Amino acid sequence: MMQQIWDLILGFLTSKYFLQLFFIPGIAFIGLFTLIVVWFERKLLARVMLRYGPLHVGRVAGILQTLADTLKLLFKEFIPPRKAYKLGFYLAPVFYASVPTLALTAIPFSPTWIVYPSDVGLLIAYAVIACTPILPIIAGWACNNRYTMIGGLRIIFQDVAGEIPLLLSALGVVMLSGSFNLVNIVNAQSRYWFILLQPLGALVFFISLIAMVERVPFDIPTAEQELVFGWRTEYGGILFGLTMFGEYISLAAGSLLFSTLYLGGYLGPNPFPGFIPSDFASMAWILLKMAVMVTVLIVIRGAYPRLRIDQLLNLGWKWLIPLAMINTVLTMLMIYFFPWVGGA
Amino acid sequence: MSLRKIPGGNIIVTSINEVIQKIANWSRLSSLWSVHFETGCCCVEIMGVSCSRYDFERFGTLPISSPRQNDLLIIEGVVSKKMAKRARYIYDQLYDPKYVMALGNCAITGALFWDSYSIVKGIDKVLPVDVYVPGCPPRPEAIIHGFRLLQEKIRREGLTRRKEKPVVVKR
Amino acid sequence: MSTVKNTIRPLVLAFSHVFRRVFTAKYPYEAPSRPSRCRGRIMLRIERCISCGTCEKICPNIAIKMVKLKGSDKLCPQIDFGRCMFCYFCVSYCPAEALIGTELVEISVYSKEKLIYPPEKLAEEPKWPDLLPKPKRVKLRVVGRRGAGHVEIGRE
Ligand code: SF4
Ligand code: SF4
Repeated sequence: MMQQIWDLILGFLTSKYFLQLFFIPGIAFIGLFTLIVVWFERKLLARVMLRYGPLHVGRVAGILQTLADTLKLLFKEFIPPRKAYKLGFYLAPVFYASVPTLALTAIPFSPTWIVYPSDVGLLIAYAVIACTPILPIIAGWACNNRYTMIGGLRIIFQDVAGEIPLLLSALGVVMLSGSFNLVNIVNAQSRYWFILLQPLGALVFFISLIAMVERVPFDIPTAEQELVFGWRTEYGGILFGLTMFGEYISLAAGSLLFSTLYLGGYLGPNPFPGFIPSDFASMAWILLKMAVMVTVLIVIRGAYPRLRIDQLLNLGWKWLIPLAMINTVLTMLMIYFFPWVGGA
Repeated sequence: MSLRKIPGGNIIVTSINEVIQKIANWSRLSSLWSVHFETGCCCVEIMGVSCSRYDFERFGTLPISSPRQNDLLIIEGVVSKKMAKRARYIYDQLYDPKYVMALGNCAITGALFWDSYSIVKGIDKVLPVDVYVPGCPPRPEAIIHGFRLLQEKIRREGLTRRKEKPVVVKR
Repeated sequence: MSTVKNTIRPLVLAFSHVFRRVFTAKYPYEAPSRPSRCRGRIMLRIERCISCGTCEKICPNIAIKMVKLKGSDKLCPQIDFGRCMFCYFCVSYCPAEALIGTELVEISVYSKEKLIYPPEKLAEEPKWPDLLPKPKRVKLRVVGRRGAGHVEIGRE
């Protein structure tokens, strides 16, 4: 009897569901990613400015800085403003932190390691990305504050300008691989990564991705110098922590999606085939590609000033969407004349 | 936090409350995000201390513009009587626990505006101040010393911050 | 074309900065040398003071008050460093050179009253605060091709 229960528990602990929920891409991955990336971002940005960044907290290179920040936010109070819509005020950050994690369910970490294997994985990721901007709008409206409201409205502009090129540019990848299934898309890149076949599409996708995850050249909704802190102005304590958490999870989802579509996803040589399980090697490869993407995004944050909202709209409507369409046409011609390039 | 060692034994007794208090104090003192109330030339020194040479961020500070997310209000320089109301307003907008640093002698006593009709002679008439950093303006070293003093104060604090007596601004 | 160049350049610059030398002096642990005209707290040499009161009269901020020394009738200046603006008028006008400037700027306190220095406290040698560790003296130096940084004096 005891043996059976023990087997049951052990079977559950080593089952895929448990590992996916608690490790990759579950709680441990999300938590560690945020803790490490926030610290890494502050250190790297400081190095761009020839500073040290966090140094004295946690003795070694300020490694405990993010932990201290999180704990401090937990120990801090938060008060909804007068006449605020309380439900929206409290729930919007919670959902803003949790909805982007759904995008991780569609990403293949290895040929078999997907939380939700589906034939339309790319569309699921896009659906989740399209869901997230609603929450800042609700938050901005619920706070009953002008700055938060303007921040929320800017998100609408930004997302319409960013999401259409995001969808259009990935069309080339879908045409080349002949599938919406992310596993098929990755497997189609076994000969060439799609960034080599689709440099234009990758560029458009990358720029609109930065706009979608609200990173610095396009962090217009939280512009610190114009709106106090955008739609986050009224949030303090752990609610603010949750909004930042959501932003970094979107960053993770965005970089994973980019590596999956253009950088060959989990594909990569396994150095010791007998020694390391192929699942682990695949995960290591996609996480490595994600790390490179995150580094590039952080250095971009250190390098560029913020665009104005009209400049972003100009960029989105006058440049990115036409370029994405040109990319689609080029891909069609490429497939027509050289049918062997695609994986389909 | 007091660690009590039982005489004759190696056991250290400490209550869970004290552990939580110590963790809370550690996290508070190592991530003091600051909002600047820039009314005088001392704000230039804040720029100096945040830039590459002295790098304030080493201690975990982060300048965030909304008072809602900040813990430390730095009053930089001379505060006129009209501005004092706004300073109090900003202070009230900060969420607890909150700390105030008076930077420069104008914020401490009014210094060279000692006979002015329109200047508040010391920001402590308006807000409860935690640490005073003298200087005209203070050098970055002095600011860092004041910051370390504030961290030391937080380290010795209780879990809940003592209630400050609100100061009424006279018009 | 220049748009593309101007877009790429900051990115390359930012990447190259990552591998440059860090410019920061870790202040409480490393102290960069202060400029020779740095004005810190003022020190009084009691035995030199002739109690003339010039410093009290010249101070533009009324920061100086002449008070009696403990246990004697001698009048000596008491400086309120919360009010002083470090103009050093008192230092330059003192006929007996009793007041001298020092380089110590770390005089932050928790309460305003502690900033009023009676003559006895003013006469103390400037003391490094207990709170801060004893720093290494550093100097700004350009070393190699990785740019400027702070180097410990004596180990250049
Ligand atoms: S330095 Fe200037 S302000 Fe300070 S005590 Fe001397 S005369 Fe007065
Ligand atoms: S300190 Fe100098 S100026 Fe002041 S009373 Fe003494 S001798 Fe006179």
